[in-house]
Amino acid sequence: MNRECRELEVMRTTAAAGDLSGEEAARLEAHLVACVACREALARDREMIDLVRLPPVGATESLLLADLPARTLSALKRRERRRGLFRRYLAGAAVAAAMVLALLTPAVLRNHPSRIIPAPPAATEVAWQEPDLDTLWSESAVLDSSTGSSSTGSTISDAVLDAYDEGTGI
Amino acid sequence: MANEGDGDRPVLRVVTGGSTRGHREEEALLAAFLVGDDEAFGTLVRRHEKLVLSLVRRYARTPEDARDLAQRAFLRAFEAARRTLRRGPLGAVPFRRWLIRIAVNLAKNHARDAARFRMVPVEAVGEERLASAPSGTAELERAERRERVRRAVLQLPRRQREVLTLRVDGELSFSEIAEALKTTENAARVNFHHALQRLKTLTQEDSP
Repeated sequence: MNRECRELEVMRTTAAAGDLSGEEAARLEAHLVACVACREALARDREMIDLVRLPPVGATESLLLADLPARTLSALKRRERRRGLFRRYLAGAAVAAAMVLALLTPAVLRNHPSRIIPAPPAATEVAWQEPDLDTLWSESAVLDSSTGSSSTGSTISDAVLDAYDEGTGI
Repeated sequence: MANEGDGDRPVLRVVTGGSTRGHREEEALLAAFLVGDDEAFGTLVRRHEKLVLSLVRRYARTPEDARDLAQRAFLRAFEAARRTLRRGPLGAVPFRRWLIRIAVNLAKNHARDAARFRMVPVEAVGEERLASAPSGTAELERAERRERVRRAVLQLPRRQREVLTLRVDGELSFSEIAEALKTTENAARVNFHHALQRLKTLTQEDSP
């Protein structure tokens, strides 16, 4: 087998399978005319495919196939019915569970009140106390500035006032 | 085209373009079945039963076994179609392709069963084989060779076996095989080529 034979191997088996057409078929045909080895290989491929092939569907199988649509349909409907029943059973079970829960919850709460754990307080409450006015004044910046102005005489408010006093001639 | 309509039942709607005539017919049949038309179901099964049977009978022990495999393939395909149609449009259901894929997978799983795997394939056609039992030495030799080849088919790597059986048993074109197996046409051809070469090797080694 030469290089072209190897290049055409897949085409040859495709042709043996009966699915080669057009330009590819023409190219292979042209090669086969000149290549005895590939003609023999093609014959072996065809023989192998023939050996692989199953015998045609016989009378027994045909007979069994006759009721395939009806059998498949009834199997499908059976499955649907089973599935429908299962869904209904699930829905019923869910409703029953909800009802039992609704009935039992008040009784359980009555019998075990200690089990009800109160929610923790959101934050610790601090009782409000009236502030001491003297402390408040002593800590106040307003008071500090007024006392400062009286001692140094250099605050902005004082300067404004001084200017005003000069302008008005008081 | 079928979509969710009033309630849970799909409704038929005409769509233009986008698919071949056969494909549109199939879609219409599927949609009709899903709204309760049992005749449409029968037509769909009839349309594909030979293909499905041809794909599964190689792995079956009896004709009943083959029919059950075919039935399971149809059931799964219809259920898959129904589930898909609940979520989207009918165009999303390539029924034939699904059926081929499901049949191939079912057959493969069936073959995995060791007890069945040991059996010479296609006992399902035993009756026909008895009817045409070989009489002469040459015929006997050929029958034995045929058996060896059929056993060897089951020893092929999965993809090679799938392509070979889809072509020889299902008589699908390589482009259809490529579509069904989600591969390229060239890859399908190459797999077929390797399958044949491997079968030659296997049966030569196996021969007495």
